[in-house]
Amino acid sequence: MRRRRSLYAMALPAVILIIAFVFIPLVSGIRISLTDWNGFSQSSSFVGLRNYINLFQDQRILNSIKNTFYVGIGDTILQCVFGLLYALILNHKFRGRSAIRAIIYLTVMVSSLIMGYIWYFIVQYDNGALNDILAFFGLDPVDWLGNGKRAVNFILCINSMQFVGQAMVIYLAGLQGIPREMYEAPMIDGATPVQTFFRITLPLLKPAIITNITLKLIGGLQMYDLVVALTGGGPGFSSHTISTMINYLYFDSQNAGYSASLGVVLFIMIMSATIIVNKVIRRNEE
Amino acid sequence: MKRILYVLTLVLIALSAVYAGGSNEESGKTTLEFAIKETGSTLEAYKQIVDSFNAEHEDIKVEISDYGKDYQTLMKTKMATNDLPDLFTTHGWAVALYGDYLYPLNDRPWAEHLFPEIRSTDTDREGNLVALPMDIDITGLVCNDTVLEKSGVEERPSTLSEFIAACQKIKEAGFTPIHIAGKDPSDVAGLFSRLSLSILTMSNTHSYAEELLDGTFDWSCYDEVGNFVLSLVENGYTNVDYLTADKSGTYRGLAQDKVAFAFQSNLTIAEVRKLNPDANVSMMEIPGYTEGDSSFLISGERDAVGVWKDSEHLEEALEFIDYLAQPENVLLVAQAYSLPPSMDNAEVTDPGILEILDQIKGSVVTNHFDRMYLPDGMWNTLKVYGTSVLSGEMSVRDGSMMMQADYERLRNNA
Amino acid sequence: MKKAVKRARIAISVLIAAFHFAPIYILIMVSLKRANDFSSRWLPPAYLDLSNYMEVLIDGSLLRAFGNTIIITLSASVLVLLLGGICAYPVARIRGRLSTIITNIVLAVMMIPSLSVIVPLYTQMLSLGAINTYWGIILVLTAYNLPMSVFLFSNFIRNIPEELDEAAALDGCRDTRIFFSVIMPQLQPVVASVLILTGVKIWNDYKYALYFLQDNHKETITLYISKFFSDFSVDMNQAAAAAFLAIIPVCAVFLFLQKYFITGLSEGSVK
Repeated sequence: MRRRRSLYAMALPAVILIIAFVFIPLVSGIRISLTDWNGFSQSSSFVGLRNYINLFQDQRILNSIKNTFYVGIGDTILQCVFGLLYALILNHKFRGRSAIRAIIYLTVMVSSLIMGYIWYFIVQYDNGALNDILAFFGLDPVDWLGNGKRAVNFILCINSMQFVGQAMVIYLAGLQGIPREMYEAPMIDGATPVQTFFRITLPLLKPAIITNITLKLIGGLQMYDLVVALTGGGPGFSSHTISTMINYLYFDSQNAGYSASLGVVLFIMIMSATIIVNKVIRRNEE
Repeated sequence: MKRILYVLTLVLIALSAVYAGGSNEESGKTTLEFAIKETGSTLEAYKQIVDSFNAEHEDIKVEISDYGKDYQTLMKTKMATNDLPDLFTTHGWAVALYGDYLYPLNDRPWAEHLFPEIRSTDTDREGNLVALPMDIDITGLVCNDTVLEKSGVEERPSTLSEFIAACQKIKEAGFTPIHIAGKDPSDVAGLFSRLSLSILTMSNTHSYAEELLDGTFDWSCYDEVGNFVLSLVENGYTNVDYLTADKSGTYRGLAQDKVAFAFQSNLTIAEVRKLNPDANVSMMEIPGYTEGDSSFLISGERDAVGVWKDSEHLEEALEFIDYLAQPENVLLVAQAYSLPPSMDNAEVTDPGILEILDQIKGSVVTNHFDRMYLPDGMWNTLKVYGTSVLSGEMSVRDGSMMMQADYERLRNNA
Repeated sequence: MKKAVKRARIAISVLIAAFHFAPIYILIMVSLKRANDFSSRWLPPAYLDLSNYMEVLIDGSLLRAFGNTIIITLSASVLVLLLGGICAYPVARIRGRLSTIITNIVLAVMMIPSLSVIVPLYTQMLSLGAINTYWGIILVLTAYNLPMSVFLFSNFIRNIPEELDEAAALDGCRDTRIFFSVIMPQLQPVVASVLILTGVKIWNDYKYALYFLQDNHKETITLYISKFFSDFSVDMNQAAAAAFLAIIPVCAVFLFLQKYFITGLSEGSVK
């Protein structure tokens, strides 16, 4: 029992920091979400659950929730799949391999905000690099971000392209951890490479896949910087995510209480999603 | 356990060292924080004034914070916690947004020199002058005369029907009549607010100015503004990327003589000249509603500085404001943006600014639509309205209803 | 046949790399052009003009921003590594309900969108006198990056056989001793991974710096760049030059750590 207690004590410094800077603000956020505080005045009044009821009748909020999940889940799938493909290609030895790995990973190091500004140079209608390619083939220019659905897809693809290197590296690490001998038996059996992949490689990569799913979900669901730099949530409100919407409601619309309630809802959603994912993974392990 | 404590102590020591290094306050000096939203040449002018003030005053040190684009966001957060800078620029919102937090400046010696047009802009309902305006902002419609000439438009349009006819000619000549930088919703809101003045308040025969002011305005009449702007887009008078272009796109278009009009401010003209010093770009009066209505300009506050009423160093802050109000300093800030100064004792020699002063004298001048007719907070509604209507997310009818709802809600709050 | 497969693989790899490098290429091209150069962004300029870079460097704010970012990133990264490693040990070793709860909380904190707490957090920081201080932003960034560190370290520690601890415990070692003498030496390979994953996030942070470092003497590099891009000026080319300079240090550090990075990940965290 004594061993247990001193073990817990080791977690204390980190736990104190997290409580002070994450949980206490979160609780005050819940308090604010029950008021009509405008974000700067000295007074506000209690409105109960009115903010929460309004959230689910607000088309713009529902759309931002839809976008967040679309980007969060789409991002996870794209990066997990393409990251694996990249890793399989780059796990074989050839000259210049590490240079290519490094180039693919480099974009992960760039701030999403800067990446968003760079991509605006590319997808801009007037003088944009993508439309220059169309012009080269004699095609008419397209206003790529002019359509809300397409803008969201661009956000999804740009983010996946930027961070797929991270997934790749984690898979590469996983692949390196698979001992050579594992492949010898099936080779003797005369299994095709595809069969080997599904029978041997994929199951052994499970920890890497789990790590990737977790990391990618987190990145995708918190999408903020890229949207700010690329579309600002537009056209209209069609490409807002929950994070940019929270910022909008608080600062532009001066509706801090409402904004806080959206933050709480997002937190509850993510909390339950985490528990579900964790349960599923644990069940598979048993 | 000892090891952990040891490590934690080390960390704490390291942190406190960082902290101590971070807050080295000079003893005996009062430090004033002066927050500035403006960037570029205006900021440089303020910096110059602050430097000479600091050189002349041994006991006071003014420090500039330039928050840039997020200025308003940060100021609102600061208002929430009642922790404002000692001095700050109010960027057109001295009365509506910051009024409650500002120290009245009526009794300052310089107040009597302010031009009445601009003094009224910075005076609240109780008659308190809440900020020191530095210049008079004049705005209308940015116009490229080279494009007009090449399209065979001989005179700048002075009514909306002439404006439409000009747009048609410009379009047929292969140019873009109007450039909208819709990535920034404020640009769309600026377009709507300018045209609202023309359609709703400035006409002799078709004006709802009184109804808007006394709250009896029938918002179904706002459909006309929405439909007019939509017709500009539907007839192809705007750039294709009107929802996604940014302001640098407008600058490029005007500088390359591809775009005729932009519903933007003097800043646009300055930036276009940076790209192409020979561009024939200037401010034009906004066309009137119909035959017999005169075109007009909009005047308002651009650069103004207020003092936080709860500042710990009120005396020193007022001393700085008085210094700022000296005619040569007022002139310095105003000229940095090619605007006329706010005071009659500042002597203008710059021919460009004299021309603007003449332009004001010769024309009808009004305040901004939102600052004059709409309650505080509605600029945001106008941004939402504008982008939603232009992107087709909202019909013109629904848009007017949203405007009405916010107009009534915010009016009652005030 | 085998050779053809190999060639195809190399060709595909090069194509993928080119695709990923394209945005950076565009950034470099824009940064080398003058503001009034309206040629296609794919084409290099016909002249060599480094004035965009010169002006950004001469201005001095960029270098100051670099200095601030380095101070903040180094301190926060060290704290994240140290506190995260220490906290990961009990999380990895304690089994049962409590461990599940802690793991879930750690995961949940990782997922909390920073924006949902920024308003109350700002008020709290203000009352602590932590606005515009290095220690304030360092503690906040540490708190929000700790979960990632705990997550990776605890995954790694789970793969260290528990028999090792038990042996040490039988020798009479206490938990802290066990951690520092048995576990910590083995953590070295994963440190590079944690450093790259969280250090980069701290370096690139925008949201927290935006609120907590308003004094421009303390502004970080991301804040500096965002101001450049958004002040409605026409100087997109100078902004691009500043952005390119901003990404060079992280990329250099990555290239240096790259070797340890993949090894570190494969040594444990994904096994």
